[in-house]
Amino acid sequence: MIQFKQVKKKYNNLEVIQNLSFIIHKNDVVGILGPSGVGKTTILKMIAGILTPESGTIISHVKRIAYVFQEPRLLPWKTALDNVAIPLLPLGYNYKQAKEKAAEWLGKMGLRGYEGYFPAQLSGGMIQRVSLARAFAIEPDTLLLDEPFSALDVRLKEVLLNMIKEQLKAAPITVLYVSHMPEEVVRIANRIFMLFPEGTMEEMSVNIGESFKDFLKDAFYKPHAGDAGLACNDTKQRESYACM
Amino acid sequence: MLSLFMHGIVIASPYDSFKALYEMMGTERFQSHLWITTKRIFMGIFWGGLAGFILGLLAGIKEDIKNLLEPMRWSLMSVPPIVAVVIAMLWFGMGSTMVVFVSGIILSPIVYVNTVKGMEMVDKGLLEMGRIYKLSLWLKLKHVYIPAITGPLTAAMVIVTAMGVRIVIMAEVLGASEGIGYAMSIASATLKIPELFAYVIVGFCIVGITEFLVLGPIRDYVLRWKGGHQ
Repeated sequence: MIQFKQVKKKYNNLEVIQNLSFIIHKNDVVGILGPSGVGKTTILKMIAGILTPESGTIISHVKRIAYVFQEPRLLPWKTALDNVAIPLLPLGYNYKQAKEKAAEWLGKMGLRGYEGYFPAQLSGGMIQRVSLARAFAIEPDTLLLDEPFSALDVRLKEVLLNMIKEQLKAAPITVLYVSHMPEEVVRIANRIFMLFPEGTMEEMSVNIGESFKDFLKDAFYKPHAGDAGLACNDTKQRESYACM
Repeated sequence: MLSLFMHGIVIASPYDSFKALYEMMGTERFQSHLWITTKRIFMGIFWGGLAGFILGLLAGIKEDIKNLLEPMRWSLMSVPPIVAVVIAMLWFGMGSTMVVFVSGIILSPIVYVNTVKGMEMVDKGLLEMGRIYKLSLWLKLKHVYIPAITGPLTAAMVIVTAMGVRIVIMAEVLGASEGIGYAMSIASATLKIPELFAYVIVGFCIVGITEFLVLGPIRDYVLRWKGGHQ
């Protein structure tokens, strides 16, 4: 369980998060939507313990966190295998066991045969799969996904989202998926939070069974000051690809 | 070129220098001087490099240690090598210990500065990743910091090698009874100018061999991850 109680976060004098309160239960798959710069990543970093709030309380019963960053943050001087194996070492694995487990996870991500490649020798999609393998290999109870596929093309995004969905089906864990792309979030989330530029957040009444267009119409594109969705405020625009 | 216009007592021609080198190479005396100087150079680079590297790592990890070491680093970088030689001669007398000590203390600040600066420039994103995945300090040093500073450090080692040769030879000229520096001082005193220039060529060779045959392959190996897409 993760609970935020009246959490505030400032960067210098800019208040990014204001009195934020929410609860995330075990095995919830939560999508956090919102335009760029509203503090989505800040929330993840506070959960991960990288940032501390100015005020308020964060109660976290999380034991092991994995984080998939927007830019994959692989060690460029280590092979794909080592990049997945190294985070296993603090968990008590010896190097041989860590490498075996890393190879298994690279295989699950469709990267068998690429174990010895350095990140500079892999494509963007492969690099993000190594990053996912690194996250899943540590068997986290909470997975933080920070716009992990924003730099990838639609087809690759689809493949990787399916990989995550299958993995979550096989071993459910708590997931927080941050994105400004609603079509990504609705694919895997069972709860969706919308973060607004004023630093506040609302949970959207989203039923994943609804069609995506209904979701957009009813929830995401309701007018909010500074909301990126304002561009899609008439029916014709809303049905266009750009608004999806 | 200069040797065409100047007297042989001022500058030896390349022909005379190489001829003197060829004649010296077969002698036991030359081989002994070369071996002793090479050993001193590598010992000076090794100890100076190791001290600078370890202190640099500590300073990179802890700001307090950096604050403590900075005045010492500044002092060492400000001391003229000749002063270091004179003080070291007082402390250690003439010979290898003095030469290695002088080259070590002159070279260690260069490695120290490059290590500290390299650590300061390590990608913060990678450090954040290490924190999230709970990498210990040892794992961070081994897998994040040290590989990250290898680039600036290998560049520093090229400077250190060239400087190491100069410092060791200078220390030998002033305070040793064997080694290339000592042989150069004798050649100079006895006006054996081709022999003096032959030793200068030997100095070039030591720097060249160390840079291209030792440091080059090491640098290529540790930076092999920079290779392009396959």
